[in-house]
Amino acid sequence: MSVLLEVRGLTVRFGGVVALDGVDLDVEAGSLVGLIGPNGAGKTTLIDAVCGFVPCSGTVALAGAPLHALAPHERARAGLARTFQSLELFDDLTVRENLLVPAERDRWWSIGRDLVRPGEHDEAGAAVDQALVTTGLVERGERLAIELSSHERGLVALARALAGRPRVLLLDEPGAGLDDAARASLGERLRVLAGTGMGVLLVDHDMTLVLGTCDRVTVLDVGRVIAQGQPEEVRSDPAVVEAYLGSATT
Amino acid sequence: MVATYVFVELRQHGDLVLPGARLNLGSSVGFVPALALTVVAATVVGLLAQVLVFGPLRAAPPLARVVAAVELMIALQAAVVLGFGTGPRAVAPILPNQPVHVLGATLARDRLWLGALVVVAAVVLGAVYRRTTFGLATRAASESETGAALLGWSPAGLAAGNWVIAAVLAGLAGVLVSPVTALDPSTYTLLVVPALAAALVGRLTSFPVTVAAGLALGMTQSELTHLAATFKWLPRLGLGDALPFVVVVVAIAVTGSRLPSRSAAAQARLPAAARPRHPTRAALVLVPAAAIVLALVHGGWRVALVTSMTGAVVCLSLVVLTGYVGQLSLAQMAFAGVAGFTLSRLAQGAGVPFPLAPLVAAVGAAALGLLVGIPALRVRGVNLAVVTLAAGVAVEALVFRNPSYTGGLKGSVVPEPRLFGLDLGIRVRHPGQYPRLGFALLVLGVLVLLALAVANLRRSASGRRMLAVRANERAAAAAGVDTGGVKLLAFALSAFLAGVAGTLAGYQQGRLSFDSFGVFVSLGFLAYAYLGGIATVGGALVGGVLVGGGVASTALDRWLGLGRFHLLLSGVGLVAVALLVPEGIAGAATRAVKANSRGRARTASVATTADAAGTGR
Repeated sequence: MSVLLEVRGLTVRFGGVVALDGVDLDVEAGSLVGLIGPNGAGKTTLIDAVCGFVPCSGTVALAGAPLHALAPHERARAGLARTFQSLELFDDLTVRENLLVPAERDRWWSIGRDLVRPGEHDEAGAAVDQALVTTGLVERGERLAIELSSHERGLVALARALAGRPRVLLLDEPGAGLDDAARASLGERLRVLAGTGMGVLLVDHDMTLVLGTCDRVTVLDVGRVIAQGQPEEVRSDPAVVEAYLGSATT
Repeated sequence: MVATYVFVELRQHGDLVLPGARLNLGSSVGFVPALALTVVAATVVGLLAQVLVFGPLRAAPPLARVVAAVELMIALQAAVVLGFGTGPRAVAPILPNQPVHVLGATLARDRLWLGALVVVAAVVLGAVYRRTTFGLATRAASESETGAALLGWSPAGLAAGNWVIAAVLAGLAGVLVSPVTALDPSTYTLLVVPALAAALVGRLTSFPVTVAAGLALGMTQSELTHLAATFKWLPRLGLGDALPFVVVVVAIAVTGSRLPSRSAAAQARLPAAARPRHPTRAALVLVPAAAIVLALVHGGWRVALVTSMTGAVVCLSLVVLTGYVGQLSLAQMAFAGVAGFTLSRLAQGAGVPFPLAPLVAAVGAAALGLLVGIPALRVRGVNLAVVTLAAGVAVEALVFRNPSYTGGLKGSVVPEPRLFGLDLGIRVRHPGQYPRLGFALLVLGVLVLLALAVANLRRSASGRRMLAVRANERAAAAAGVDTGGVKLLAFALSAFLAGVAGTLAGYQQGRLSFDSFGVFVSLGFLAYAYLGGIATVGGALVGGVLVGGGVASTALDRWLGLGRFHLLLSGVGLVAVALLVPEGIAGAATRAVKANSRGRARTASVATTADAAGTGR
């Protein structure tokens, strides 16, 4: 399988604190990669750094093309989509409008056209429809994002990431606040997405979701990779048990 | 400023001025009791500001609080003008001011005293906020109000305490500098600009840095006045007034960041920007109606309508910038003014014909908008408001007050617009017909085109990107939106709209003078736009009705004889709107209509059910 997202030696410092220390990570096309670790391990910081939200050293490449010189929105257009732990929806917009934002491409003439003839353009509408179908939100399209339940808001966040037709999807704790049934169906959805050839990185601290659905798992602790491999290997790795699972698995 | 006036009035006439009354305490009150009463007055004003305005607005979006602060400033200034008049007052020296020789220069002694007092105040303040429980609690509350409240501190109480301290300090400062500068309402209000610049340099947290910046800024301003007198190639006026803008921009370039950080607290939402459903249909109904009204009314009322329509265009410019993208600008009239004076130059000086000259002028304003928008890439919220305020003051000082650009007191002539031999000007050949219907219809046409464009924007991809930036900059960037580009686009577009309004004002007045485009006019427009509804086209139209000289103020003047209270009333009204109906008058009206029709539908269905039940029996 070809590597879509290649992270090498990623290091992030906040003042004197080293939040990430030389992290290597690969996400292949069509694979679902898990990233787990206790609170403060640097999981969200890794997504922020890959997407260009925090300054970092090391290299990040998308399908072989280096990203380090690109601003966050340029990385998004290059095919990198992310969700946020706190969702960060556009609350004043309808669900459909939320999804249109990443789906519509900005051109220099857009503004002139938009002042005279507004509406949906390009293939944006189709991409949005597909994302709504994938996440089961078709009925909710015209509701304001802020009016939905927290479960549905989580799905809107996922749908918004999908609407930009990304090549790599970075999900920051999409399972937070969901009950077990919803988590299970989320896991199935993510497997289906990976099946379409997308690379998916799933960050969570829920071991069951990550170990149960991912092809490979990376474990972070205090900014370092302490284990990497198949879910079964990681589950029994002594370092992981020590740092993260503690006595829970005994 | 209020405190200073209270003090001066006490010292000069022995009158204690209360709202609506004067209490004579003898011919002239001594220094110490006068100062004591002044402190009391400042305390009362500070407390009232917290209790009546900012306390209730604690959970409101920062925009609402900025607008409320601006409004409070306008309302207080209006109150001062009503109570004390606009003329400058000379104030007898308070501190000893014998000349003193320092390093070969001759200074009045009071300048040194002032400097020393400021440093002492800073040291005391620093100690209070570092060492006392009150200071600790204040700093805690500014980090997290909820956290402080959980620990048993009342955020409202702390805010009130700090308001009193700030008001008393500002009052005392006003009293002390009054002999040095002239005391008049607008100069005193604008002293806030360099003060805010210094505070921004101190990042709104450091007393020593702020004081150092303030002193340095003041000294540089004086030095610039001296330099401008020495070197002929420098603009003779305004350099000093433009300086705070430069300082603020540099401070921001050093400290700002392009995207808010992860920990940046979630802000309360701005008024909702409802999607207009049938803008074209609404225009088809409203435009003929407006044209008929314009044809039926004459004289003052027609002037009022034209002023309102021009004002609505300015409000539209704020809808794009503030309503859609969430950026604040207190410099809209600077854009309008630049366009107005450019129009005068192009049309009168270079003979550029009608539709082209105002368009080019508005594009010029858009270019200035881009320039002012650049700091917005790195600052947001209140700080951006300060930057644009400083920019507005700088443009006013450097450009508008420069007689060689704007014709000084005589103003700049704007020739009548004509198109294909059709006279669209406002002036008439026969007296008694002013203003001409042709001009009113021209303004209506321009307003309709721009309003439709702004409504279309809301329904388009560009508009969605703008609202995405307003809602959440980080998420917008993650969704592939170039947040900086969107902001610059909004600034340019907004300045273009304001520029069009400036050219319309130019055609209306025929002879433009710089005071139509002062900073206070900008502040007023922000208030009217917010009152009407900052995020919708309908709101902008309502805002246009409210503007000074517009329909509402004319009605106020003619029917109630309250014209001179317009500014004060709009200030009070704004605070009320910000508190009660954050979406503005237009939004509240829409909601009321909807609720009403829903209620009626329900009553009808209940009635039908009752009927059915009745017949069924």
